[in-house]
Amino acid sequence: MSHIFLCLPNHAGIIHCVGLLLDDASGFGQYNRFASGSGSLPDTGATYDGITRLTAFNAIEAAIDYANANNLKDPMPFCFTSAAEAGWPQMGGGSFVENNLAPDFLRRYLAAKREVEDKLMNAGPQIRPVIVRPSLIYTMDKPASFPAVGAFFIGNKIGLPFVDRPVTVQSLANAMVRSMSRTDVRGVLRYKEINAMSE
Amino acid sequence: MMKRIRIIASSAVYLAIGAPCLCTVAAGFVSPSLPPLTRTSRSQNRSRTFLSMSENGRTKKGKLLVLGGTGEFCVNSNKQRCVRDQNVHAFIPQIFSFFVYSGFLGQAVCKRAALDGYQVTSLSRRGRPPSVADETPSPSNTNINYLAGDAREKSAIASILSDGSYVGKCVDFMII
Repeated sequence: MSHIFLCLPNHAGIIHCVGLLLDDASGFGQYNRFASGSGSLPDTGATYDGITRLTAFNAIEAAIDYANANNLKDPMPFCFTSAAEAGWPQMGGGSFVENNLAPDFLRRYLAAKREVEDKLMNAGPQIRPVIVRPSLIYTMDKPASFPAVGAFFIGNKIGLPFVDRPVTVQSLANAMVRSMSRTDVRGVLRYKEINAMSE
Repeated sequence: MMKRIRIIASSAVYLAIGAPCLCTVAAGFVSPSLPPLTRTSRSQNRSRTFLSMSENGRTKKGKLLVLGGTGEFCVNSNKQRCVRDQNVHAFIPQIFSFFVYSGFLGQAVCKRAALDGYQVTSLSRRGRPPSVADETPSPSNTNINYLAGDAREKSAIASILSDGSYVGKCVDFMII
């Protein structure tokens, strides 16, 4: 009886949380254990292109195939975890910072994120794209990260146009899960929308 | 001229912000522990509140919830979120598919979805996180199928979505 359900179109959606802050090609891969919230280390040769872009492209294409095969009535929601800095070209001073101050690995990081964003936004009517662009992600049980988080809060508070306010991992998770069932949610969600949806 | 000054000033402040961030990261102060979604805390209380409410704030006896404009769904006795399927005239569990690499955000999202009654499939390099193995069984971890695999292979993702063959014994479709 249970096997009947294996082929039914009951997948609610896909959320893509694959990513890494410091890839192997940056030369700082071993420091990812500190930068990553879970302390994981990237594989040897792991790059933003291979981890972020390739996995997301695979998931998007698989989602399109799934939606077509099951003739879904509603578009399948697909939530991609991008970064606030991916929106720098639309922010005042963001392009200057990216072109003149950002290190090479950050530019490659953002390029991979933007490629996925473009593909997702142009995936067609079978997919409902949701792109979250969080800044720093923190949790209240890690007080050691508060100095960095506080600095971003201050930068955002004084009006720096290219510094978004950090969000808690719980708020972000709430917003991402709720975006699956809310058919009116589509496109880019920045910290304001993330916090609003998580309340 | 003023615009250029403003950009330079903004850049200086940005570097001032970035320095303590890098120092924090380099010093390794960020602990690798998991977010406290399953602990008795304020966030847990909020989670339970959300679990018992529908999007429009109305609940019915038996936890049958109605979503405006998105069709019906319910939470069954196993706290799985289910949708009505017109073909079999029954509620069937909704499944989430997650593709997680590093795990910090991914695990929080998995637990959040599981607490909301979704049946979650998580694909990551290491599969079930070691920290989860020691947790007391609860809706936040029993509704999650942790799979070890490589999302760089499209076939792994496609098989999860299409026929569940990749999922194998991990699939636990409950009869409503």
